Amino acid sequence: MITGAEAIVRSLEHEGVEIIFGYPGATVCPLYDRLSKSNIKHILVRHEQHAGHAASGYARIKHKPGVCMTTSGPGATNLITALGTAYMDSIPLVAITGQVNTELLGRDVFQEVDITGSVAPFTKYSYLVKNAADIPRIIKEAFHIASTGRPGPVLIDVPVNVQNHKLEFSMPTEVNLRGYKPTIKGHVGQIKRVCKAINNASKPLLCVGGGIFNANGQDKLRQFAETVNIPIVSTMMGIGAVPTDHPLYLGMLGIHGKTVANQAISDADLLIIIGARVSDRAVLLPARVGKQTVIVHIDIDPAEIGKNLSTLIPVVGDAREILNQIMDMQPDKKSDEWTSLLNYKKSKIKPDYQPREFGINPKAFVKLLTEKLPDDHIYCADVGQNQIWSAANCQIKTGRFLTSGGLGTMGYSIPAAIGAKLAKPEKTVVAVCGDGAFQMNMMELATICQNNVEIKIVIMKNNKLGLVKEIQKNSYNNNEVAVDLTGSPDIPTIAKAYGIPSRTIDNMDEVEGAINEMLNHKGKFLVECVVDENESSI
Amino acid sequence: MKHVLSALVYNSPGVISRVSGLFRRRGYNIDSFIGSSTEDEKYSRLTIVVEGDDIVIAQVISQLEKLEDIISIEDIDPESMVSKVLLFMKVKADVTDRVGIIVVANACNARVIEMSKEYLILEALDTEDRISEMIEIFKPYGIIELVKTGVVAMKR
Repeated sequence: MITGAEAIVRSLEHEGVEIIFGYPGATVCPLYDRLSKSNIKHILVRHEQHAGHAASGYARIKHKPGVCMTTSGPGATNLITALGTAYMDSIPLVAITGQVNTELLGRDVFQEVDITGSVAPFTKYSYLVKNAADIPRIIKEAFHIASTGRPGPVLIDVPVNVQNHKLEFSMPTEVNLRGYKPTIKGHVGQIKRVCKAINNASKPLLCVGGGIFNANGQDKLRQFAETVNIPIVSTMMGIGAVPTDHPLYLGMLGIHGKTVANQAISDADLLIIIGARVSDRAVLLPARVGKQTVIVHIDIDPAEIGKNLSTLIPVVGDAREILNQIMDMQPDKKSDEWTSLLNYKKSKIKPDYQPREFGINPKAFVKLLTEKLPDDHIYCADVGQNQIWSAANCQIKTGRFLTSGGLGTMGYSIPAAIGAKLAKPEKTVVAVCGDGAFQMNMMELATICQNNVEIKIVIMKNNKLGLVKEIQKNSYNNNEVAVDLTGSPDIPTIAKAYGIPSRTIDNMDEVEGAINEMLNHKGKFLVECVVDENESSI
Repeated sequence: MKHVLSALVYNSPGVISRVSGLFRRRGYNIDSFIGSSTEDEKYSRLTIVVEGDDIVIAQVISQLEKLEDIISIEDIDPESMVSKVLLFMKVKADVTDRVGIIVVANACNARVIEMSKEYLILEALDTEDRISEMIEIFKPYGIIELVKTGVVAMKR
């Protein structure tokens, strides 16, 4: 007989967990006690929300569920934003929370919250464990649910007395969930219709979202696009699905996207959406899409299809699998007419990389930074103007672009970068955020130092909440309210306090030197870019 | 012990989720839960059967009364109420069994509402206890599918 806490640790070991991001408290003490005797590494974050974000960064790079753990009450509620962030971006997480004694449940005792109820809209599934004997099965199911089908966060709430109850441990060999059978292979009839639509189209276009990464289908996508000669646009979550310098790639679409990408959406006669939910921010729907456009929607989640856009040919299944199936049917290779027209339009666009009278041109900075970074670098963008600058100008080749696309959670970049770096320590990982977002996650500098997580940090500093300021300028008669960040600390001094070397730059001549210094420095490094407060997002 | 709670609530979106959420959150066990509109479309009537001792039931009622959507709630005394459960039951019934089943059904106050070569569908409206007994009686014949409502009740 072993305790519930030990059963949790053993089950996690069974699932191949190597790292847990967490923050302890009274109701997870039995679990922490057992965890200390395991080989699973625990990373102590400085705020529970960041345990979730770090697990998210880890999951996206490791391609398996990230695990985070907090105590009951405020520990659990602090995690909610991270679960919501992961849910919106379909990231597999397993969150374990402590809970008060089972006999005290529902009585509003100290640090009790109904966390399974609270996270219901933000989790794929959740469990309240009332019986220690259920622990191995529940953990096995949680990992299965989190990582299969459309991935997402799963929460397991474990009352402290259940962690101390004894059980006979045996790990189930398989999961048996009646009613949960994600479709992987696409329906053959639908695949045939897709091929026919491709053969009939003269202006086909691929629109790729984050689902392609969940399916691990980047290489298939590229192969498919090249074989059939179809241009590609991506959502923000889809950036990096093909190298951003690929001749068939037109860029990100949407209100903050590339003109040529949006034009292609309007002009296309066949739009093949893969692993994207085409939210309002991605496509100005339905206005953008032509009335005659044939829409194919490939998604593993049948509920996504037809939700935001009426679809002519739905295909439910795994993106990689379906791309394979389509290629097996050998659709016709399209002529160069449409692609060269788009390429011509693309070449006419001259991005604004000119130096500024004051400060750094953040667009030019992002471009230069990502060109200098190794091809397989991991770029974590935060939320705000910096996200738009990053998304529109970063050069991603074989690496990844990680950001909070769906929920737009400020403070995502640094914890996500910590998770990503711990998932693949050999990769160069950079977190780029604004001075607003930085002040939401700068306590994690301690986590970086404590665990020697060698990430690079770039802060675009304009002393404003730039994206909101821009909205107020354009839509509220320039009435700037609550966007001034006066009172913020001196960022290099903060870095110094944590023992992190840093450099501040405020003109373009210094950019190359600063980037070289940051990348050549072995270990963590912070660059502060002074940016004009009136710099536009696009 | 089982208690039948009858609540008059505003017929507003989310009211069922708020009431059922409260049961879940506080760990009260719902035996059955029925909601439907009343003669006035502004209001709905919920009939909830809860298992618990008097202290728990008093807590349930106090917690429910705090919800803005609830107009009134009452724990109905079994002695002073009429209550019924509706049952549909698909029972295996080949040629040899059919007559026997119909006879038993009549004895149970159940009606045959549909018939095919392989099965019968029975309908019964009765008290919860009698419905439970009836299910036991029909088990040996082979129940293919069964659906029943929770308790609906009204104070005399």
